[in-house]
Amino acid sequence: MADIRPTDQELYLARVAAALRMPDTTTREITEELAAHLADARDALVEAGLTSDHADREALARLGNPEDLASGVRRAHQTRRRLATAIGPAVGATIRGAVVGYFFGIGVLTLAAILAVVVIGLIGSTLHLSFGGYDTGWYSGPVTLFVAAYAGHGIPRVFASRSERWVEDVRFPIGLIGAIAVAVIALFVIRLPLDAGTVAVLALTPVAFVVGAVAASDRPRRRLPIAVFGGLLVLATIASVAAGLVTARWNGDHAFDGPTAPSLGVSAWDAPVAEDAKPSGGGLTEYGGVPLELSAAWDTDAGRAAWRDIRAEVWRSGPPERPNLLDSAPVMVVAATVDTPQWASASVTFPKATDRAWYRVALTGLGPDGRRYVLADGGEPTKVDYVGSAWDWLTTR
Amino acid sequence: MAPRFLGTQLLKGTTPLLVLTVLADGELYGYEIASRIRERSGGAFAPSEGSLYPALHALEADGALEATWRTSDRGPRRRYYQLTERGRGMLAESRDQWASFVRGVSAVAAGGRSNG
Repeated sequence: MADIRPTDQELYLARVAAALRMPDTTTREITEELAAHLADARDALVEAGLTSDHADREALARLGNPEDLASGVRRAHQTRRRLATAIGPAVGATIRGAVVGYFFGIGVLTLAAILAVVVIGLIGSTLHLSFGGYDTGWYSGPVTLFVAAYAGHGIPRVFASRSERWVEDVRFPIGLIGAIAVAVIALFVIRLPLDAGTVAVLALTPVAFVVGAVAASDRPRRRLPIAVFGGLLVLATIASVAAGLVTARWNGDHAFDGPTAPSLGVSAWDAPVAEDAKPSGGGLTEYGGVPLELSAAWDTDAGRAAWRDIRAEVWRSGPPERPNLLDSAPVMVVAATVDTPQWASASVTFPKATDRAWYRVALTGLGPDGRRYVLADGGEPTKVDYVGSAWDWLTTR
Repeated sequence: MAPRFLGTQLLKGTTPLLVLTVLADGELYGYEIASRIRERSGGAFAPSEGSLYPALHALEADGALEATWRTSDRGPRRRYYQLTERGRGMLAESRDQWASFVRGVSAVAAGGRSNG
């Protein structure tokens, strides 16, 4: 049987390779160069009269300690200049990774949507679910996380290769530095209409980046393992069905229960007042504008004078397709000003709050009987987004 | 007899100069560079072969050398080094520095001998 034990030279070169901690291609070139050197040295020593074994040992001894040699060569390669020149390609790799992550995320979620529809078709009657269209609005969150993870995953390999380092030596610092940069952008720089889900996604973006960066390794690049892909698909499918369930339940709880939006109060037209006290005009001016301007007009001074404590009321409600009021009292009132004897108006600036999105507004006043009546109804719910950074959102009381 | 470490330390600092000098005559691979230095010094010294490769790779990273793989009729393929324009400039500069260093050390050494 042939002797398959490694030679001293092979062991020496293996120790050099392990101590180099550099990319495979560079390591191969360096060990090949040293192997050629050892072969030349050995031949010269044999010519000089040494035995073959002695020449082998002497050649290795002249190269010195393999770890010291590797350390010297590594220092020669891993220069600050190489580190600096690796930054540009690493940024390019981040962008490429983000694009791949975007399309991969869309692909997984689309596949999950198809599976979810099949699942709902199979078990929908048991869960009292029916398929009436698919809401892909929630996709933006997972896709953002895919983008962050793939962006993080793309950097270490390129940075390591360009700076002649091991991926495993750079992935943690890159993950940390990148996560800080991503966190600053996600939490402080990006300003969006926000809700709790969007803020959660933005807060998780640095985590996804770190996970992607740390998953990079020196081992040959492999396709995403089937188990990981399958796991992602199952999770996304469950999330899709769960989102359908939640939406169905929410819709059930907040179903619009009338042919017209529920009234914010008794109309001034039904108040026990003279005809000239019933508003002849007004309503929302600059509909949809912020601040909202609400007004009411009367034909006579006496008509307006019949009303006291005229004010704008802001009520929480569902969106236009579910305009039910969510509370038994307005969340905000703003006293109106009497601009002319026949005209009252109020300007509503919505508070920057994190838990209210849709509002209905009305101008109301106390009638002669002491009851409050609606002088002007703002109509359909107005959406007021919380626009700002995630940090603003998190720190808003 | 001079302390042994003195020769080793001196040689370490001069390895880049020695490498650039022998490569001024044309391209060589690693083992040839070590042999050429040994020959030129009359066998008096040669850089440690373990420190030769870090020096070669550092000079290459600095842009002083260019390396090319070449196959040969006998033996494995080898990595040949040759001077670049930058390397020639570095050689000239290193020679000047070395001459200045030798003059300075010689002056001090000569003074020491006269006082002893």
